[in-house]
Amino acid sequence: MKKYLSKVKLVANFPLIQRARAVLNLNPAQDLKPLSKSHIVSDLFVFRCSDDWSTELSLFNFPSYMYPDAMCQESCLLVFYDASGFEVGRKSYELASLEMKRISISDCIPKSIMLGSFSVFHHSTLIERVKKQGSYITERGYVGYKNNSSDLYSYCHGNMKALSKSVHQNRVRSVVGRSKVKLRYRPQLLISDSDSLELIYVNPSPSQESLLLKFFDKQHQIVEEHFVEIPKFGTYLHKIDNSERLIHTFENWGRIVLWRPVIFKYYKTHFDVLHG
Amino acid sequence: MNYYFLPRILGLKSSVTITNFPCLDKFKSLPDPQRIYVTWSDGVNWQNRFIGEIALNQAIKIHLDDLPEDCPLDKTSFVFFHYKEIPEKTDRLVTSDHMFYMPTWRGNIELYSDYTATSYSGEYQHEMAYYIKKGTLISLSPMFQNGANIHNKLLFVNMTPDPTLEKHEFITVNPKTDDILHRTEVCANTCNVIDFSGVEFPEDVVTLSVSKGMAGVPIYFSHNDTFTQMSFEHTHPPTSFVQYGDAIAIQRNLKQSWLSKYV
Repeated sequence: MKKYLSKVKLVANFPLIQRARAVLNLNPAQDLKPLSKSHIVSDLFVFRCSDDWSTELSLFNFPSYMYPDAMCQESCLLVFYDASGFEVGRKSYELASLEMKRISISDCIPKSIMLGSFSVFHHSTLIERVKKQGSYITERGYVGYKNNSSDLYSYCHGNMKALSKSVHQNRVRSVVGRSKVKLRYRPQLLISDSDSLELIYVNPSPSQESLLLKFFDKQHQIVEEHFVEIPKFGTYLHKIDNSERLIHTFENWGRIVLWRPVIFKYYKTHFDVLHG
Repeated sequence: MNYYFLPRILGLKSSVTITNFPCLDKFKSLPDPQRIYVTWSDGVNWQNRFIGEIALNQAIKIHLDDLPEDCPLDKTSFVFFHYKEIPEKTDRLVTSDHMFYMPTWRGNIELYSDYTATSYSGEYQHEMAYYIKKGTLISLSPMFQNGANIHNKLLFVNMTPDPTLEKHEFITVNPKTDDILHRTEVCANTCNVIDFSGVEFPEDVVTLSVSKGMAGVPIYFSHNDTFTQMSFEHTHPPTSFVQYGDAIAIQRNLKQSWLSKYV
């Protein structure tokens, strides 16, 4: 029976079967296997860059830690999108085996862009070794955020396997799982302990997606609702004034299976950043 | 079933937020209400105390100061919830798979001062406590920060069914030069707080933390002198460097390579 179930699971996760499951709404997958084995996968990370904010990516050659005997250098391609989802730049970095570079995102994009997203694709000969295991190299990232009153970066890792790219092609493809119908996602936390906060959503799907936000009080009664359309590869920031501490929890509805926001909560002297 | 830990750090308070609702509707809800317990290991038994109930759709924040008076200050308190009545003392950790979901049933673990707070959404999974009898850890982190006014700590959390308080070696190295940056002992069934005061971290390479005797969740905490600025985030396990296929084989190769080098 166990053998049979694992075979069913294997077949259900064939790339084309996964896409058919989404169309037929048969338990759609959270993320899709890339269509080609030579693809690399990345989260879509949020950046904020302005006089008030800076964002830093800790880019390191993690594939070389998987196979340290290979002493493998790599090339990393960063692809940037503005809040409307337009690609606004690409930048490549060469990393020696085990090397890390701190990348300030404001050095990579036009100065006028204050909010958006980016992905990171690692290219090296180690892709072949990973391919042999039936796997895909995946950047889940560690991104640091700092505002103008900070001495230190506050870190948050990625929260959604979002995009893939082949070494041989320029095109970036979505691998995020979507459903035919809108699904509810409920972050398992409280947001009633700060006066103000921001929810940031990125849309890694290949089309515009609608997002419905519902906010609840302590008795789980709806306090507020908000509806927005987010363009393909776009970023949306929703500000919440919670100075009366009325809102306790929230949920979001959309076709993306696991649509988790990045949350910024503001306190007297600093902020907290976390994935919902 | 998952566990949510309450770190004890001098100068700070901590809390956990637990919720009686799943993050996705495809998961079934739990019987209403759930009974909330706090548990700790005294080295011989797991001590369990009932501290309240959580109704369906409710979210509750439990502060370290809210715990019963007999929770010892030198032991880590773990919060969990269950539909059953549980005895005050058990020789094995209370485990159950009734909350096994992917993504996992998370809580929010928070550190806070009078000025600010920092948190991460996480948990200690029942499966990790139950199945990993004698694990190992390799954590690759770029999150340690250098600076005159910046302090770094690593919280390393472990739980096992057996209430042992066994100690294990824990080292942090520069993987490029093989220099040992820090060496200490960590304790089982504890949220260990490892202080890296005075350690200068390399800027061109991540740090590699190794434990050969104990698995667990590593969370990196940085703060300034006055706890007016803080950062708190965990590292992914090495399996997350890839997706699909045999990620376990890739993790095994990574662990074997680095464990044989340093331990």
